[in-house]
This record gives sequence, C-alpha cells and structure tokens, in this order.
Amino acid sequence: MATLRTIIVDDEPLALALLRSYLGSIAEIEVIAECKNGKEAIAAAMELSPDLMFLDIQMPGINGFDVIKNLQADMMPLVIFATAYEHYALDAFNVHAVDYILKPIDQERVSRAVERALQRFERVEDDGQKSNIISAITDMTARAAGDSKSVDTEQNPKQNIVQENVERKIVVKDGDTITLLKQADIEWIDAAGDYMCLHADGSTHVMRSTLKSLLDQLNPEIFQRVHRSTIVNLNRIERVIPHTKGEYFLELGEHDRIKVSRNYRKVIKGFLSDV
Amino acid sequence: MPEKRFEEVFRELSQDPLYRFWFLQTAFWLSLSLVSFFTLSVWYEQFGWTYIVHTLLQSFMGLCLSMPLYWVFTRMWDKPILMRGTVSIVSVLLMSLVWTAARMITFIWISKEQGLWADFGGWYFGGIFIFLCWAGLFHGIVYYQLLQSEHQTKLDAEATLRKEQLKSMKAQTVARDAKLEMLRYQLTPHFLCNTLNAISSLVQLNESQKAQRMIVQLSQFLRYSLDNNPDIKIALEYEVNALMLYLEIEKTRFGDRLQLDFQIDEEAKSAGVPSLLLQPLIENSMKYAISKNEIGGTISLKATVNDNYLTLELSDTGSGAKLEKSKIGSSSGRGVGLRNTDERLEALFGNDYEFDLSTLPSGGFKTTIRLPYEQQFILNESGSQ
Repeated sequence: MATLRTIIVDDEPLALALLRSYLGSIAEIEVIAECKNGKEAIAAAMELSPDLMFLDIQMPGINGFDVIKNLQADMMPLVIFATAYEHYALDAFNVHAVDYILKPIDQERVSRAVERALQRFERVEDDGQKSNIISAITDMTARAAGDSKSVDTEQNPKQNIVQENVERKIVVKDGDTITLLKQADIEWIDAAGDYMCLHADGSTHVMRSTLKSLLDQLNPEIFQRVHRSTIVNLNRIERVIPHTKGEYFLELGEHDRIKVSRNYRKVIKGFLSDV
Repeated sequence: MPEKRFEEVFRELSQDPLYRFWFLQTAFWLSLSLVSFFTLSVWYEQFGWTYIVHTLLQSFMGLCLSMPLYWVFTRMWDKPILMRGTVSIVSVLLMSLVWTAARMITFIWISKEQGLWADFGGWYFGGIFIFLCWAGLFHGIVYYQLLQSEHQTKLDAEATLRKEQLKSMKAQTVARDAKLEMLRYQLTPHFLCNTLNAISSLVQLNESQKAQRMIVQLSQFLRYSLDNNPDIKIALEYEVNALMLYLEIEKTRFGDRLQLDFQIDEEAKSAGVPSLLLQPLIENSMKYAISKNEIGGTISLKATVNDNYLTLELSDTGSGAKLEKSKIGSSSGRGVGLRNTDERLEALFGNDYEFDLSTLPSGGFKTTIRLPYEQQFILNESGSQ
C-alpha cells in the first residue's frame, strides 16, 4: 500500500489541528507539513513535492484557487479542498479535485476523501492535475464574464521568425478582456493540458494553447524549458539554488520559485556559463 | 332611531348642491317677508290678513324673479369682468323694476289704496337694495364654495401624497431589512460552520472546557444578533459585551492573529447606542482585514465623551495587501454594511451625527461615529455575559 506524503493548509490553527488529528489515524497518510497560508503552501509544495494537499479556500493573501494557479504544474499534488463555503463545490468537482469536504469536517468524510486520493494516485501518476483545475477556473471566469466562447485563435505556428518573435506580444484572452503581454514581462509559464499559465508581474494569465505552439511564438534566446511543463524567462532568474538529485530551484523575484528537473539541468548549466 | 335617520337624510341632502340652493333661496325670501312684516306691518299697525298675504306674495314673486338672475349670473360667470359686471347690474336693475311694479300692482289690488304710484321711487329704491343683496349673497356663497372645494382638493392631494410617501418609505424599510437580513444570513452560515469546526477540533483534542466555553459564547452571540431589535438603544457597555462574545469566538479560531485594543471611557459606558451598531463594522474588519492578513492584526475601539457627544473610533490594521489601499474607500465589499450603518444613523439622528471613514497610513480602515450623548438606563440583559 502506498503512503501519501501530505501537506495540510488552513489559516485557522484549530482547523489544522483537527485535520492533523483525523489524518493521524489513517495509516496511508504521512503529514509532512502544515501551512498557515497560501504562500507557505506553495513553498512547501515546491520544497517537498507532496503527493496530496488538503487545501482551504478562504485564506489571507493567496487563496486556495490562487495556490493552484501559482504552483508550477510539474509540482502539482492531488488536491482535496476543505472549506466552509459550499458555493465552490461545483467548481471544485469540475476541476477534478479529488474531493471537496465541507466544514465542520468529520473523520469518516476525511477517510473517504483519502481513499479516493489513493485510488487516483495509484491510477495515474500523471500531470493531469493542474490542467483539469485550470480549465475549470477558466470556465469559471468565462462564465463570470458572461462569455461562453473562450475561443482560441490558434496562432500560426509557422510564423516563427526569430526577429519578429523578440518584439511580438502575446495575446491572452481572459473572459471578455484581451491582454497583450510583452514577452519581457513574462516571468515563467507552465502548461496545464490545453491551457498555458503565463505568470507576469505577480498575476497569472491563462490562455488556451499548447506548449509547443507557445514556445514557437516566444524568443528562444530568453525562454527555455526547465521541466516537462515549465518554461522560464532566463532574464528573470535572480538566484539558482542547487537541490538534491541534480535538481535546481530558480528564484524569480520575491515570491516565485521554480523547480528544474534533472532532465533539463543542462539548460541551467548553459545559462550559468553564458552569464 | 328615527332621529338618526332624519340626520342622515339631512346630511345627504345638505351635500346636494341643488337642495342647498333651494334651501338658501327659501330662507332668503322668507326672511324678507319676516323683516317687512316686522318693519312695515307692525310699524304701520297693518295687522290685516291682506298685508300678511302681500308680504308673502311679494317674497314669492321675488323668488320667481331671482331665477332669471340666477340664470344670467351663471351664464356671465366666465365672461370678461366688465361685461359681466354691466350685464349683472343691468339685470339686477331690471328685475327689481319688474318686482317693484308687481308688488305695487298686487298691493293696490289687495288694499284698494289709491295714489300709491307717486311713491314708486321709494318702493323701487328698496327693491334695488334687496336684489343687490341677493346678488351679493349669491356671489359670496358661490365663491365660498369654490374656495372650499379647492381647499378640499388640496387636502385630498396632500393626503394622497402622504399616503404614497408612507408607502414608499415602508417599501424602503422592508427592502433594507431584507438586505440586512440577507447580509446576516450570508455571514452567519460560514462563521457558524467555521466555529463549529473549531469546536469539533477542541473536542477532538480533549479540550472540553474550551469547547464548552465556545459553545456558550456562540449560543449567546446567536441569540443576541438574531433576536435583537435593531430599533432600540442600549448602553454601550452591553453593546461591547455582545461584541466581545463574537470576538472571543474569533480569537479562539484565529489565535494570535487577532489582537484587541479596547478603550472605553467610564462615562461612555452608559451612553445609549443603537443596538448592533458596531457589529457589522467589526465583522467587516474581521472579514477584510484580520482574515485577509497573513500576520493578522489588531481591532481597536475607542469610546470617549466630549461636549455632550459620544465619539466611537473603530479601526483595524488592514489586510496587508498593497492593492487594497486604493480600493478600500470605494464600495469594495465593505460598502453595503457601511451604507446601511449610515442610513440607520440618519434615520435615528437626522443631521445630528457624524459618520466618517478614512484609510490609515498603515493600510488599515477607520470608522468614526459621533452621536449626541444620552445616558441609557435600560440595560439589555441578553447582551451581558
């Protein structure tokens, strides 16, 4: 039987204590971290690569859904929401979150959620997590904007002339607003299935595209893949921190930390020798 | 019983303009008979039936002759004033001439007196006066009635207006109540669920005394906030006690993240405030500052009495987000609760209050309320611990 390395996230100490106590009696769960807010949750997920995350939604600073948006897709654990707010339930199920537990939580409900997580964990060791969630979040915002047709204008991948790429802006349709992002402003990008999350100036823009076609639009001199689903703007790297097993952490600005997998370490090595 | 019926019939008749006209007409000419009986018949000691019959007869003739006048006057009513005046006076002179002639002929015929025609001028003079009198009364009464009905229309319009106003005020109140209630129910379930989760946690951790305390606080708070009539005033001390029920619960939930700094002057404790005045403001601070800030914050309440005014200063230390600063003054989230509080104060104190909102340099939010100081002796026990 597998053991799920789990982090629990809630801004209320008593809520954390209750969850810890319930999970303590479940043999398949090993609680490896407790986080009081979204920022801590992201840091812990990056650091510890957990398999499962119990996530509150209403939290100070970065809320539960923002944690998912900001977390590198390659590092996304299974997610079980635990909240007092019932109106996110539908969206959470749409996003294929493993489960959605309403507070006050009870032992039996937590056990059932863990069972589901175990099944999911054993079935797919896949990166499908974030993609489902992001597509649902996009649905939510599109619905909120009263715009059901979040159409992707499939950019022409053949137009990948480098000179053009440098200046070309990236067009992001988010609900009914269209944002033009300067390439230089994009800090990093991660792929969630059919969606790309573009992280720029502290906010996350979601667009429909594949990793490949997006890469074709970007200037290859500054944008590099550092993980299976992660692209980074090399100019934004402020610190490179070696990690175990030939992995690296990249620090971009104050908050963002990105993990470089072993397979892409040569990118960083090349980058370091160029600087 | 029959009297009542008579009165009713009379009242109905007196409201009928036609009846009123004939009543006044008869009264006028009958009183003329009486006057001429007392002044002429008694004076000249002519008590014979012939004279009495003549006074009655001349009144009857006058009544008949006033009818053409009535017709002329109503016809002339809307005409230009010069034409109206001329025609009216000429017809008065004409009718009094006819009347005088008729009176004299009948008098001569009845009394068989001779040589009366020499006195025609004297008779005519009196006749003119009587018909002028009739014309004056007619105009006076008609104008009076017009004035009355105009006044009545105005009164009716005012009454309708007032009724409308009352109705719309009632509708507004209902709408506001509903809004307040909605807000309350919007907040309560999540607050309740989170609190129950915390209690459940305390039980799980075998902290039964803390759990019990929280259950009691919760039930007292629910009773206070759901049962309390927002129209009554209570002493500030009890309002603060009720706030403390809520804040103690939040303190148990949020731990170190919630700090309180309450400074209530001794004199301010007995000041009357509308019940549940501060509750929505404190809930706002919890919702938009403390629970939004990773390191938590402090809620401060200062109550002082100066120049017969009670000043309440409620502030928090903000959400810690840079973004919030620009948004906070606008209707972002806190808006509805603040607007309701302002409206409520206006309804209770008219213009004699102050309600100020400001953003602190630290990013916190501050609400200042100034109310006329009024000692409150009726204490609300349900608010005490």
